[in-house]
Amino acid sequence: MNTIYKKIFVTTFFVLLSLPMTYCLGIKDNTVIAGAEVLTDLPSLQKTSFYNRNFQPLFESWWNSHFGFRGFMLKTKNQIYDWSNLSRIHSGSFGVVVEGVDEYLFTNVYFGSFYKNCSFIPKEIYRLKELQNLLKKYGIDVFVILAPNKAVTYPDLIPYRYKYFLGTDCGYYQTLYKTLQSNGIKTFDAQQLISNIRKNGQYQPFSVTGTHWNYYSAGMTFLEAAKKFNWGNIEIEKIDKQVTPFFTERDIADLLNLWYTYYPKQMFYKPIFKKTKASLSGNTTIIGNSFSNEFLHMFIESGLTNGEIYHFENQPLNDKDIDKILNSRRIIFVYTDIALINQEDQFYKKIDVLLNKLKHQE
Amino acid sequence: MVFSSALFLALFLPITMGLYFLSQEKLRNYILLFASLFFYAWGEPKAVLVMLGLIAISYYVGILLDKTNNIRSRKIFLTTGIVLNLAALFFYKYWMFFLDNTNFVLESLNFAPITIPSIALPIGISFYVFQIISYLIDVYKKEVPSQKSLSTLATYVSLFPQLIAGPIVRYKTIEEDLHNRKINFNNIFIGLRRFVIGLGKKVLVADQIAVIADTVFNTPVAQIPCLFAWVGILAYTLQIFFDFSAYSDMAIGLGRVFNFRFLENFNYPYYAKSIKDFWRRWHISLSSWFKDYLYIPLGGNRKGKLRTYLNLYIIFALCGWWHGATWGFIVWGIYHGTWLVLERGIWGRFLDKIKNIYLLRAHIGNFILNIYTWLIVMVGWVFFRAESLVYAKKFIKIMFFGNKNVTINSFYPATNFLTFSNLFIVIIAIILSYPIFNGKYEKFRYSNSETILLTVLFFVSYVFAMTSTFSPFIYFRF
Repeated sequence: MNTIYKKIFVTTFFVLLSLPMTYCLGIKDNTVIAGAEVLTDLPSLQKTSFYNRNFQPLFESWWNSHFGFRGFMLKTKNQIYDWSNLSRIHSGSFGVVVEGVDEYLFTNVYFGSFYKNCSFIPKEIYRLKELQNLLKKYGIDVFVILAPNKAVTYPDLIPYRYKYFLGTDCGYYQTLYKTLQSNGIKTFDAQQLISNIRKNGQYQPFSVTGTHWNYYSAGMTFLEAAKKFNWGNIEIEKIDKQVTPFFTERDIADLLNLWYTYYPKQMFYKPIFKKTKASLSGNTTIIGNSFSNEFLHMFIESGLTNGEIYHFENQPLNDKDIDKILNSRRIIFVYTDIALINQEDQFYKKIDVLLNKLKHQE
Repeated sequence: MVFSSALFLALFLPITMGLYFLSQEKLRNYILLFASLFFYAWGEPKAVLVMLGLIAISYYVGILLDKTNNIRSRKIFLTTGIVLNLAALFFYKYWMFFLDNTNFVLESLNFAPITIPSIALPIGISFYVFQIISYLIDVYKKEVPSQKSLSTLATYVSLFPQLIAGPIVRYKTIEEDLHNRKINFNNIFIGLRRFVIGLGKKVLVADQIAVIADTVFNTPVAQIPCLFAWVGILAYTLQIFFDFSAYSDMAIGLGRVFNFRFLENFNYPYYAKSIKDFWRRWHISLSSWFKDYLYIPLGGNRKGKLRTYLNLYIIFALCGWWHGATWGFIVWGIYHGTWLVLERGIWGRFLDKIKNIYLLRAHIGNFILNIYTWLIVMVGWVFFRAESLVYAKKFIKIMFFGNKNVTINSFYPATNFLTFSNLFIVIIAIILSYPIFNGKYEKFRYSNSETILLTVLFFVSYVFAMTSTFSPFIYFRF
């Protein structure tokens, strides 16, 4: 065997092994990694912290997220996955990113809408009716926007291996809608609207690369909901089209952290509303999961209200928040079916907090 | 600190190797000792004292054994050394097991249970205690002289490549290497080559297949369809081999880099044609330890059939128990012992006949025997992997009698692993479980092509290992 090959192998080994330590020499790798991480600070070493094994996991965590050329290595790893072209599954804290038909990206948690056991609806959802009745005494209206889910909107693009294990009906969403309606809660079925837009509309309601509905479908939902609930008349002046994403329309694609840009020439759509006279009086509270962000933007941009708009997403409510909510004229809950079937969701905790507060005041 | 972690690969290993290769020859054992103690203390800062205590005791017992020729005294010294080491092993590893079982009996008799604070199990104690015992017995048998330097004995016991997951290296195997080692480029190359093979097996095969096994075994047993029970146990069968043999490869490779020669620990166990053959190929350092230090002293197969069978049961029950202090491991050991006993009787003669069936060619007979071995070993792994004996029993029932309550397409967790890449890796793993590089492919070993391939393999497995902890939040913009 040629010694030169041995030398190349041994040299490569030691060079690669030493590469991460360049961080300690101040050499920076400029590769940008997408995705929010909670980075650990370098812990200080003390005799007791080492002996009690408090130092080691913190140091390991710090090293794992700071070593030199981490971005380069991470993108290279993902690129190897991509080149293998066998399947693209990238783990993230929010579950798993799955590439579907026509390169549509999904976060697989939304496939949950097709689980066969769809009869289960958390009991707590009935408490929304109780809350609605109590809020009525304060002159506050409650609305629910059942936000669309990418998997339910594009069931034909779900990879076959998932479809084989899932049912054919999105039972959670249907059962939820019926339950909310039968309890007299003003509900707007955005899923139905968005599914129709997907079939008949000019623009796609979800981007190929994002997990959330786009501004276009959030805007159309807002427009139709405003009509249904008599919030006012809004009209679309034009659709702004551009290649750069408006908000989270590339969030899953970026999270893939590949060397090349996944789906670089995709068009993104955003409705621009005609200027209108503010017709909604009083303050508005929007409570929801991450999908409520797009809805909030459309609400603000419509100019439908001069009042304050409060937004509460995943954070627990404190006393100041509750005061704001009770000073509102209306509360709009914007949730996907997946959030509503998860009993641990902040939605239920918020309902409980509000109910407790109102009952206490009574 | 596991070998495939970023901390080990990119901090501990380069620093240790750098210090080792740049230091004077006389300092190298001290550097290895210090690095090994640090390696162990990183995960077990308190337990390092237990290990050092056992090393010190065994060092003095070794010296005493060397000093006297009085057989009675030597027996007393040896017994003392073994008992103290086993006492430590028993206390840290098995005390809670005994207590749990005692409490189970007490509670069933309506007595109050005994409560004591739980005892943390020091990693690797089973390995280093067995190494120390082998040292004491070999010194007692005068196969090797006792080690006169405490630090050298400590280096042998604590040597980080094999400290926490073996192979169980006997003192006599590396006695010469402990005293006389030179830096040798060829050995560095051979060692790194082996290390890279191990890293690739661990990161690219075992860790990927683990997703399949974990998904199946983390599902409530009542929800697992028959097909996926088989898929799960096949995956675990491959995972445990590639994981464990990868660790041994890395240990043997690192040993060779520092110019130690450890004996092989695996020899294509899934190529075996009987359970007896399997145990000649699986975890060789452990099975040979039990054979040399327990089975043969118990009489081996020299005292009649019944005694041989009893000895086999004892050895394999203890072998199972050595792996972990649960009934599952004990049942796994007894299960293997039972097959070994059967293979020594009529069943063994039947297997011989299969090999030589008149109408079949030899390789077809061998194929049938190999499938038989896979089957027996796979069923055995259920006891090894299952969280409880009840789970294992139900799992095996599903494997052989199906699960009427569920259909294949109701097993949604399968979406976690049903990908072409996983199918590809499973097929590759099965192929690599056989000695395909022997015979006509032998030329490939150490060839230029293999070295190029290994350089690429190292790059790929290294970036996979280094980035395995990256797990960002998807909603990063909020």
